[in-house]
Formats: sequence, C-alpha cells, structure tokens
Amino acid sequence: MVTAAEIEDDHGIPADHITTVSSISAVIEDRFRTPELDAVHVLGELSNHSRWKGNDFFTLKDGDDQLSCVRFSDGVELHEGDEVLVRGSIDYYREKGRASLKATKVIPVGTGELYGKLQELKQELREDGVFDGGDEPPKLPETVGLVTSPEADARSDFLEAFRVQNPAAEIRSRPASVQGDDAVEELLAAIDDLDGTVDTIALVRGGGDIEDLRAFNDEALGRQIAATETPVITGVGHREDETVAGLAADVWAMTPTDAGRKASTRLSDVQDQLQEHRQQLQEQLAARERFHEQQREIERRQRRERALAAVIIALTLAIVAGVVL
Amino acid sequence: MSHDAEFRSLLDRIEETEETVQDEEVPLEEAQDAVADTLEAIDAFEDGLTSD
Repeated sequence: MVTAAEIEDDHGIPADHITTVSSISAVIEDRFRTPELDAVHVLGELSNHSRWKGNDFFTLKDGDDQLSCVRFSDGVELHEGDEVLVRGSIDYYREKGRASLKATKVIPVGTGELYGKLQELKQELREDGVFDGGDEPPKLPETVGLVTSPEADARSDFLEAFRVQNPAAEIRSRPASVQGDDAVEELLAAIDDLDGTVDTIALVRGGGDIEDLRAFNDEALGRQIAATETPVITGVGHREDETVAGLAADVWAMTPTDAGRKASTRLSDVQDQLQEHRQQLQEQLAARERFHEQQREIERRQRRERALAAVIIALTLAIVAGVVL
Repeated sequence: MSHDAEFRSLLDRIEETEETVQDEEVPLEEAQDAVADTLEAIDAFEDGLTSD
C-alpha cells in the first residue's frame, strides 16, 4: 500500500492532511454519539418496507428527505404508506458507510399523504370499472409485446421465465422508462404501439417504494391498460405491490418472473398432453382391432361348427335312409 | 387461426375420434382412418407450435 509520505513526495499533499477510511469512519461514528441523535422520536411516511430474517427494513420519508430505518424487534405490523412515529437512535454503520435509525418502537399515527391520494384514485377507478378485467390472454401466444426498461433486471427475469414456458413465441420489445418524469408518457406510447399487433402485452418492472412505482400508479396508464384491445399482463414490483396498472391489467402477476410464467402455458406440458392423447388413441384402436379379430374368430368357429353339424346331419340322414331301404 | 383456437379444435377432434373408435357400429377401416388422420393432425400442430 502506498504510504502518506510517498503521496506527499509524489503529489505534494502534506502527509498529516491525509487520512484513511477507517480513521474518518471513526470520527463520523463519534460525531453520531450525541444526545440529539439518541432516543429520538421521528415522524414520517413509511415506504420501501421489506423483511429479512425477522427484521424490518424501511425508509421514513418527509418530502424529499428520507432516512433508512431498521427494526430488530417484533412489533406492530408495518404497512407501506403509513404515517408512523419511530422511536430509536441514530447509528452510524461503518461497514456500510451510512447512518440509520435503529427503531425500538414504531407507532402508526395515520395514513401518509401519498398513500392516501393513491387510495382515493384506486377507489375512483374502481367505480369507473377500470379494474373490472377484460379478455383472458391466450394460453399459447405467438407474439408477446414486452414493455420495460431495456437495462432492467425485470426484462431478463421476464424473458428467462417466459422462455422456459414457451421458447417458440416471438418477443417484441418496446423500451420505456419505468421511473422518472418521462415514464408515464413512454409507457403509454409503448402500449399504444403494441396494442392490436401482438397476442399479449407484458408490462414489467422490478421492486421499489411508492415513489419509485409512481408511474405505475398513474391514472392515464390505468385507464389505457383497461382500454387496450390486446390483453395485458403486469408484473410490477414485489408480491405485495398493488399498483393501479396491476389492478387494471387482465392478469396480475406478483413479479416480472411470475409474469413470464403466466404469459404462456408451458409448451412441454402441451406436448406431454398430446403424447398422452396419441397413446390413448393407439391403445383404443388396438383394443378395437383385438375385439374385431375376436368377433371374426367367433364367426369362423360358428361357420365351422355349422358346417360340421350339416355334415353330421347329412351322414345321419344317409344312415337312416340306408336302414330304411 | 391462433394456436389457442387450433389447440381447442384439435382436442375436439381427438374426442370425436375416440368416440368413433369406440362405436362398434363404425366399420373398423373407418376407425383406423380416423385415428391415422388425427395422429397426423397432432404431429402437424406440434410442428407449428415449435417452429414459430
């Protein structure tokens, strides 16, 4: 490793002005140990919630500001969008280089503004019939339109799952931003472009908090999905994310991978089913042929028996006639 | 015709063929022809399914 003295020689920066990550981390950690950051009560909107190994990880939001939080203890069930009061202390995690609010208690105090507005929009769209569903997508699509960000993991997750189901169908990709100011406009254009030209449209995106998924909770997008001629499958976010786009779609999938699975019946299952039918037909025909052969054998035997009986009768008659004469 | 419609039509045809084979009133040769034609239709459908 290069020494501070060498850097001073090579770059002219005094050695006593140079520090290390561990030294500066220790200073930051020390600065966080103040009464102001210990035993705080923080009010904010809960988002980006996930659970891992029994611990809760979430973000508290307030306008553009946000704070990472972790809760290691059990407590009230946490819901995305809730307005909560979190009691705890701010810790600096040197290994991750970031501060986090370690919650000892979370108290729900109301519904967050974003969440509240979203619930109102969903109610309005529900009353307008936008969530009534439409046509079932084909089980064996020949062409599928895929709308998502070209670089997103969601795209490869969908394709990987779909190709297992149906390696033969054609995929027509229409790139669109799935986050940011242009997202709604690009998603609307991509769906409009594909509508009527493919068998199924798949709209997919990875997980995120209520803010990240804003485009998929847009009223115009929900209404357009409900109005499309082509059936739409959505796989947006994680299993717990109930977006406007997902509710308006003909098929809701939990994730992009799930959408890939639901977009087509597995061709190998269809082939297995057809193979069973082939076998059944052949077995039924073989049984019919055996029956036919048995019938013919019975008829042959009956003919032989009748012929034999005729001979016996003729002989008997001849004998009787001889005796009489 | 879409693959879904073709598949439904094929399943109907398979069912009709099974009835034909099991119907003793239908001559054996006719049943044999029906099975041969349906097996051919299954092969053609499978080819179409995987060759898109």
